Amino acid sequence: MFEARLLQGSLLKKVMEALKELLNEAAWDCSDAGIQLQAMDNSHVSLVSLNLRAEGFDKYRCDRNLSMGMNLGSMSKILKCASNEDIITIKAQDNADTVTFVFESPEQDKVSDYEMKLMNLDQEHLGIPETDYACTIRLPSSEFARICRDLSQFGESMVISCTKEGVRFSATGDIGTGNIKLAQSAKVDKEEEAVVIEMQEPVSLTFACRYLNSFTKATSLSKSVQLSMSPEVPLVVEYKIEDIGHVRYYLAPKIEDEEAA
Amino acid sequence: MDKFLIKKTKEPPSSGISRGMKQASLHQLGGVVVLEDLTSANQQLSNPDISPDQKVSILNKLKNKKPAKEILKSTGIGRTVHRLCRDENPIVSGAANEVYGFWKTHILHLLRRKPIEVESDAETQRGRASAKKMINLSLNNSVIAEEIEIHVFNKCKKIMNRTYNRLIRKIHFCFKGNEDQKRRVNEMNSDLKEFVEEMYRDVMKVYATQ
Repeated sequence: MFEARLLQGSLLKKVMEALKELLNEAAWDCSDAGIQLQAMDNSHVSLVSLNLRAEGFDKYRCDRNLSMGMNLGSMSKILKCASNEDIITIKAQDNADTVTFVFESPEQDKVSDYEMKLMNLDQEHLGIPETDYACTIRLPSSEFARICRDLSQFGESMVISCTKEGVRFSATGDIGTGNIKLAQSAKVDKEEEAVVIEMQEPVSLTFACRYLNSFTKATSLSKSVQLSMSPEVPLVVEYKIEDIGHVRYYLAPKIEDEEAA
Repeated sequence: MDKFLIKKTKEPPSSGISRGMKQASLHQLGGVVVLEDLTSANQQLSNPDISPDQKVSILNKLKNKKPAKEILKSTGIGRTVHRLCRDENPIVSGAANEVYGFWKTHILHLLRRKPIEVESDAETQRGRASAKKMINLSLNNSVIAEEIEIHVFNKCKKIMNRTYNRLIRKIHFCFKGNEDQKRRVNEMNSDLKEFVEEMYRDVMKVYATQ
């Protein structure tokens, strides 16, 4: 038996918004520690890793480890039937081929349940070691979303350069060039407004704006975002979800095309 | 009219930064390894029945990858490649030495990296400068005052919040009222990072009682 009750149902709705643009289907791995999801997009350029710890739920029960393959489009349709204030419970029997979503209104005057068919998904699991990145940049998530949106008007690629002068986002295209430079800013009223840069060596990498814009769909989950970069490893874009876990996006950079050169 | 016009072939649209760049997949990156591949390579390289040619072929594939130190340890591939450096076949040992040297250089490079101070905006710079000045006022050593402030800044997660201000004041008054502490720090007889840690713990104790 698996049962997870989340008082703040809107959180699950936001998580779904953060996933559905990149992934069509994914396996939700449930264990007594919590719920984990790890999946690559179809082109194997980006990877999404979601972690929701058991302690973050109002009630959490997982008798046996189970992996629930879900179509995220269908799950999103079901979650749209929930109001933002609703309490959401996810239920499944061991070895079941369906999952049930129960939505309770805060006053308990309306209770709806939706059953969804599960899928058999055969996905490879990638081990992601904790890496000591060359640069780590923490900035307000709304600022990052704005930068991605603004610069994607110039071109399909964005260069993120981190030097001791700060972090520079740039894009070049037919209409011209756009550059946004952020310096470290520590004197702020709220911690999430700060731009914090930890650097061990300068890094400059090019990324597809399309993916970065998809990642910013998670902006509503966290007030700040952390970008971690190193040469020859994927960029990590991490949104911490308060008290419950995180969503991390991994993105392969663009590399020199030896054939075109 | 046509004879006055010269027709030119249309230039292809420029794609800006992306010119000469192509999207890599996650697996193509040197730092991304599939654990199953490394485990299988480790088993094959440890197998005495495998021909030297096959071993060299596996080693050549490994040369394109830069696994993390933890992965080299957990899969056992690091130890296996090191052992092959002393293989009786010179071609195998040569290929193994090349891979081992490549990995070692990469890991040593990562270990030797030191944090680089990144420039801050004008307001932060002003705030940090006055904090350094405050410490220097009681310590009379601008070099050490600067170093202490860097430790304080890092300890406060690079944010100039209430804890940062309290910690700076705490250090200032600590030097002002304790000549012995001031002398020890000035003579570099105490670890500055540890000193800041100690001050931080004191500040946190005050927070806890409030």
